[in-house]
Amino acid sequence: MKTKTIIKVLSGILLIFAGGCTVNKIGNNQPEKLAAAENKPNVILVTISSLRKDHVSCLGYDRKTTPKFDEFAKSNILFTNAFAASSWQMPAVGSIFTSMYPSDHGATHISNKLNAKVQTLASVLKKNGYYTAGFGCNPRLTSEYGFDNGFDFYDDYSVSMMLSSMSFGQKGGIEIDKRRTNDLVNDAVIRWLGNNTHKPFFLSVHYYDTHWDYLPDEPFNTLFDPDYAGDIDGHQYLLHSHFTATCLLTEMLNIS
Amino acid sequence: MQTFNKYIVIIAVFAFSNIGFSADVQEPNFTDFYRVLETDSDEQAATIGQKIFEQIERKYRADAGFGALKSKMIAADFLANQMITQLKKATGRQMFAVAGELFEDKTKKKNKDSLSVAPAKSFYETSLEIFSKQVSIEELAAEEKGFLAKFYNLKLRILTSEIAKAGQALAIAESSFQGTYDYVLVLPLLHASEANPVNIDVLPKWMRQSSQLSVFSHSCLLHYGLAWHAQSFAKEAAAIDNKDFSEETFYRAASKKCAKPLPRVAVDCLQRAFDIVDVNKTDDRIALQFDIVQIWLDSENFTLAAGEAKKIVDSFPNHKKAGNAIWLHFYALSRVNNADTILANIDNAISDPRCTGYRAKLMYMKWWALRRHKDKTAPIAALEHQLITEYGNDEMVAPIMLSRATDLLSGQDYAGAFALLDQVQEKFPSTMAAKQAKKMAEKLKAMQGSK
Repeated sequence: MKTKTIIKVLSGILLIFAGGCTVNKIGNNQPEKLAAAENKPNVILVTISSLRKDHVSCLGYDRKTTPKFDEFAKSNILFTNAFAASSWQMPAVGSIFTSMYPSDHGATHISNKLNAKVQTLASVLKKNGYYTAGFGCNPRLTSEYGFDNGFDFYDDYSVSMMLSSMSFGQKGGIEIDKRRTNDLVNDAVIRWLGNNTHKPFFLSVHYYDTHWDYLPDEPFNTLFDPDYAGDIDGHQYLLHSHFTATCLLTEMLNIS
Repeated sequence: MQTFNKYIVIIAVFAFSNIGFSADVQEPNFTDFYRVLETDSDEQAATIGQKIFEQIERKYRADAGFGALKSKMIAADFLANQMITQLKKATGRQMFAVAGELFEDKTKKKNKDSLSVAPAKSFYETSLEIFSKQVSIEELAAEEKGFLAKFYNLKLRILTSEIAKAGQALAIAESSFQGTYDYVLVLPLLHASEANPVNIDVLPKWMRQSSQLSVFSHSCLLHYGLAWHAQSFAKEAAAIDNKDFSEETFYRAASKKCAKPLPRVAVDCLQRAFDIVDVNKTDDRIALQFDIVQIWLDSENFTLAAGEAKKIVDSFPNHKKAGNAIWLHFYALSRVNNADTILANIDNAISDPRCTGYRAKLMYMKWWALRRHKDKTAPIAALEHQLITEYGNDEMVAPIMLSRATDLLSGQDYAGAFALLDQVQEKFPSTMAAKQAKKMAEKLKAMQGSK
């Protein structure tokens, strides 16, 4: 199986990788489009909130925070000269989706939506025969803020719905910031991939666990500094588990 | 000639001192000490006591126990001075800052430092080991023993009084400082244990009223996390006021006070209440254990919550609330994403008659746990079918129906997806799933219209 992967790192905000694999069959009846589609790779865009370039091992961090990711990067292309268009998720992801500066795509503030009239990566791919699906739980990247623009299916609800269901009336609510959510995102994505018959597809997955409040899971919370007792800077612990989870996704792609 | 006279005087004083020594070694006189202790100031009593102490010291100089006692006294003195210095420095800084504000250029931006004083607990914790060693001087006469105890307490009381004064000065200079009582308690707590409550005798006299002891109780609980000492102070306060006191009631109330800030202390309180409650009052005991589970859940100590819930089931397997405990056990495990343990045991719980009231929830939990595994597609589908069939009118299945609709969409079965999305909206209109189903259906219709 041929696998082509592009990895980009945007300093200060996001780590992105887009991957594709060959297509076995597609769900389109028109012969010419079918032939064209067969040659198109699936495209996967993974974005990660608040992940700093300088905390990723393969980009120079001295601690081994991202073993799975490093392994992935070794056999693919690693871009190291990339820059975020903004310092925070809404405008930065907006720029990744639109190839525009935040002042042009409009998602510059929580009271401003992504401009519905601008073209997005998803809408361009959709016009070119792709089925477009997006998954995530970042409260600033929801359909309400226009981030579903161009997606046939945009799942920004499963994680919060799942968390809400799982509280069974217990106290706690569904504060996304205070819960680990990568597993739940992966759960929805993997289930979707398992049932999907759309080919080719564009899949956007956004992870949020690296975002504040940093909630490293065991044993990653004590991996580097068991005695650490501060209330910030826990996110470097999380990357290991994060990319273990992400690896599930890449594994899924390799066998699809 | 003048030089010669001075020389004579010095020799005379030295000779007098030697005479004094020989008299002291013979027999210390305790009467004056006890009299002054009753009638005069602590400082005056300490002056007399110090002389007696030195006499006893000469007698037991070679005794290891006496050496340990003296070391403790020196350590107490050193620790107290550390605390007083810290408090005085902070007071000085605050005074300086206030003076600075009075004379500063009003146009300049204010840059007042925040109050920086180490928590009293840190002094307590770092000195615990030193003071936890027991001192024993076997050859002491009863009278000497009695004196040393009184004298040691007197020394501690003088030190705690000085600490209290330094704390009060800081509280005046900076109203946000509320740690005076915490600081005052450091030395008394270091000399106490659950076998020996804090000796009220070592507290400054003006702090021995019931209202003050209640503040000490509060400090023990919320600053030091020492439930037993908190109870002991509260009991002492009640005794002064001739009020009834129930340890069980105290611990229950205390657990509520510290449930949020100090869940471990809250659980300690509930555990102590549990130990006090009559073993025949099963319902009361189980209720306390459920309270413990809830504290662990609320404080997100889910593994501990799961363990405590299991303890209830193991201890009271036939109680009417055993099913609730089983359910809470699995719920707590789910909160730490422990899908493997859940899947290993949940089938027994689902079929357990004690869990009849929780069956739907347990099945939903199993569904969630199965979804953690990417190779469980068939069992997930079977369980979803079972849940929708058996509990089709329960709001709990709304997310499951939405998930199935999503599956159908990704498999391009649009008719099937529409039907399910409609069902979710009709059956469970107030749910998050229904809201999402509506959005998805509208989007699908729009897409169909555009084709």
